[in-house]
Amino acid sequence: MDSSVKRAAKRQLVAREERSTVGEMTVENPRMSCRNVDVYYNFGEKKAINSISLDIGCNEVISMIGPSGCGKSTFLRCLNRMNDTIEGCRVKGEITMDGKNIYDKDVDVVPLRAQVGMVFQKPNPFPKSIYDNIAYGPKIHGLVQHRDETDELVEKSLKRAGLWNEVKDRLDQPGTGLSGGQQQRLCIARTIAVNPEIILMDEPCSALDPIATAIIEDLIDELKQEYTIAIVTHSMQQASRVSQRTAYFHLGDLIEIGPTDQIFLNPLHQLTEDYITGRFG
Amino acid sequence: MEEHIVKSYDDEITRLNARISAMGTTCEWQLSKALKALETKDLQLAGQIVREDENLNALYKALEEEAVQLLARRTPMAVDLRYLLAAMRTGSELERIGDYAANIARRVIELDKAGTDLEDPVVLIQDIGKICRKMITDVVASFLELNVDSALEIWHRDDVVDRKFARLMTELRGRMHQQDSSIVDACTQFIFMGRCLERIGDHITNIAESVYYIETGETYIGTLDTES
Repeated sequence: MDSSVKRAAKRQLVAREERSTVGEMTVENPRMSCRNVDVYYNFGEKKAINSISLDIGCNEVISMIGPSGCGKSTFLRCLNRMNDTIEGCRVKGEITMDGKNIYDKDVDVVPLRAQVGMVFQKPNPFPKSIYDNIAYGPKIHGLVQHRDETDELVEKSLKRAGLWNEVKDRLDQPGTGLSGGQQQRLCIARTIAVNPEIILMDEPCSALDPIATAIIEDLIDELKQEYTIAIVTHSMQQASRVSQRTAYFHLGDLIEIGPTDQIFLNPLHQLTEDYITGRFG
Repeated sequence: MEEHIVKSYDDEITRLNARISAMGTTCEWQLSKALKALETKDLQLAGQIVREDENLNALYKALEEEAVQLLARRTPMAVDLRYLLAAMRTGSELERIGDYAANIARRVIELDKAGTDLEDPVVLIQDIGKICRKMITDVVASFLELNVDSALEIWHRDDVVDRKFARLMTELRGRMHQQDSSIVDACTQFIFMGRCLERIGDHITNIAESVYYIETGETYIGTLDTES
């Protein structure tokens, strides 16, 4: 063989032992910026996530994946201070929105959670009518004053969530009477109704059948025109379908963050590759 | 590659690799027999090679079906997805190489009809064929071992095939200019045979590129830098 033949520059994955984040954690137009976020449970006994720094970009869908217990849901809950409701949970570091640390003492969590809404794994409509499920939030936040304003907002929110045509003739019936997929879209409509900027979704489709899942995924695609969405999912196919960036968490560390296409076709960290190819227990 | 949590996933990949290995062995065997038929003017052997090309097609069909099933069942990601795409491509390349081996055998039959004995072109074709046979064996081994260094070394061997093919063409053109028209038919068959071997070399480089793709996630843009 001729000696001038070039040798392969074989791609070296970052070693499993390396715990610092691989990939670009900042974006040009962040809607929310997290820096060195630690979360402790049991009054500091257990550290759940370690020094995570990550930007959530404007009008992007970012998905968070990783094995159970990796800290992805814990991190998601930091973004609207849902962890405040867990006794013994402490959050360190900085999470800023519009230049303001959301963990500052003078921040009121009620408007914050309207601004950063959340959709949970299991649809949790209030035990009220479909109409009241939507109207309740805007009323307590003072976003609507009169009945016609409320009617308009209910219709608009249900339309945005792709549920209006299915429920417009039975708005007075209980939200709990809807199918699982419809209930989840009702919860999304309820979140939208209080005019959020960011929507957090914690495994929003894990209790739904494939058709209801497809409808929600289609909805996520539409909602990203107006909102920023951060989604935790155990379905890698879902992450690859709906998100522009994907973050991989492992044992409380953010291991890799990058464009979704790259993460699923050509990840940079060995741990990411192990997980997405099913080589990781 | 390390093992999957699901053992049956690895079993399916092992089966695909076995198909590729079988296709590689069959291709090399078909080409070696085609060259033997040329050397010994064995028309019966040449006819047998043409007929046996069906075996390689059947192997490829089985590989393709298994790869599609694996794609549907496992929805592979990252290196697994790259491997599967490369395996399907490699099967297709080997199937084409088999077609060219069968074409050479057909030309052996046509050459006999031309009724002219020419020694030198046969020697040159045997020389190129020998290199191609070794390249087939080596590139399939590099695929199965995911040896990207070996794959690139094989990729660059194609330059030698191209140079020898150019020399064959010069030799044949020279003969056709110098001698009477009675050798034109025979020379035409040699040109086709040389062209088949040159194309086999190209398909081998495609397999080498697939190995590079599996291991690096990138497309290999090689440079013909073996001149020295």
